Parts: sequence; structure tokens; C-alpha cells
Amino acid sequence: MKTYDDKTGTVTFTSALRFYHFGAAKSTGEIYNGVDIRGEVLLLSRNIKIMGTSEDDWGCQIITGDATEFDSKDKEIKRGGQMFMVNVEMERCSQKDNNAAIRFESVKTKPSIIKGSAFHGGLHWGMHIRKSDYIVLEDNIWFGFRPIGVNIDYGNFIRFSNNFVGMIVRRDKSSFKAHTTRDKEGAVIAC
Amino acid sequence: MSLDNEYEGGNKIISNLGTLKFYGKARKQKMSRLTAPAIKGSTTIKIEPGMDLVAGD
Repeated sequence: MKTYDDKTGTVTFTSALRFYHFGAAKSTGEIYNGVDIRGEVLLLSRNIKIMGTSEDDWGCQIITGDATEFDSKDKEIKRGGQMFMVNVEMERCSQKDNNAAIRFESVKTKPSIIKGSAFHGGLHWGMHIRKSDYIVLEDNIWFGFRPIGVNIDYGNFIRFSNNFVGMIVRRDKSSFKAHTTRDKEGAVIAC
Repeated sequence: MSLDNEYEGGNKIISNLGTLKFYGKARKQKMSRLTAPAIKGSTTIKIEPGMDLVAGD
């Protein structure tokens, strides 16, 4: 973005728009049963950036999990994973046909919070919560993933509020041979 | 990277088994609507005022 005038709402960009988007002075809610179909404009930038590389399709991911280990005396050591991610940007994240950008795997002991963050330009799912509890997802943007935005898979005490999930598209089937009969699609999926 | 027999990590990963914290600068209003059509090829759009935008976003 090049300039922004808050009084007039005029935004200028350094490069030209690639597509047409509908806009109007007033909400279309009155004529479409309360639905405002005007184009949405989202702020994806944050000052903390986690960027996947573009050299291949492995992007990047963050996984949080609980684990049990044993020391040299066979004493059990339990580790409880948790993450606090507030006002962070994650771009070109997740891994094509494999892993979500943010993963919680068997997290049962400590709470986690993801808030005010923006995840965009993904290669696979945006988020995968699996067998995990006590996670707050609030005021985040999940934009541009395939074919699932947020997948909550066997989770308890998950709070999902005021999140924007959009531009969730089908995967490129030609590159995904296995499990295609079970390939689920959706913005937000909960099991 | 393999975390256990049930699930694997893959590569290009931050694997967290402890406490991981990221705290960035809060941005106020992060969403708006187009108040006029955005035309293909144009470099300007009109949105509802109040969005927390700065040059370079």
C-alpha cells in the first residue's frame, strides 16, 4: 500500500488491482436479508512476521504439543506445550498437501491463546487443532488456504470468536493422489 | 522430524513442547468495506474510514 487518507477512505497502491470487486456507499443488508456483499478489505500486516520460503512447497509451520520423556534414570518427564501468539503475521505458511500453518497436537495440560494475528497465503490448512484443549482463537484473520481454513478435530474448551476466515479454495488435485476420497473442504470444520 | 509414532512434524518447523510467546504491536481496526467498486487495473480504492492503515502495509 502506498498512501491512505482516513478522512476520505481513499487507498492507493503501488501496483494495479488484478480483479474487479463490488463496492457501494451503503450496506446491501436491506436488500439481501441482512448480508452485506460489498468487498471486504483486510489488514494483514503485523510488525512480527513469520515468513515461509518460496523455494519449494514446504512453507513453514508451528506445532505445539505435550510430550512425555524419560531421563537417564528412567524418570518420567512430562512436558506441556502452550503458545501465546498475539498480533503476529504469518505468510506463505503451512505445507502443501501435508501440514497446517499452526498445529496443536495432543495439548491437554496448559492453555494457549492466538489473538489479533493474520495468517495468509497458505499452501494447505490454516490451523489444525487435534486432540487438544483450552485454546482461545480470537480476532484473527485466516485468508487464502486450501481446502480447509480452520480444523478443530477432537478439541474441548476451544473458544473461536470474531475470526475472519476467507479465500478457502480447493487444492490442486493433480498434485494430491492419496486420500482424495476423504479430502474434506470447508472454511471451519469441527469434529 | 518425527515427534512420536502418532504424528510427524515434517520440515521447516518450529516445534514447541514448552511455552512459546510472540507479542506484536496491536493494530486497531483491521477490516473495512469498499464504498465504491474496485476496478481491475486501477491503483486506487475507496473504503469506509477508520481503518488502521499505514504506508507499506
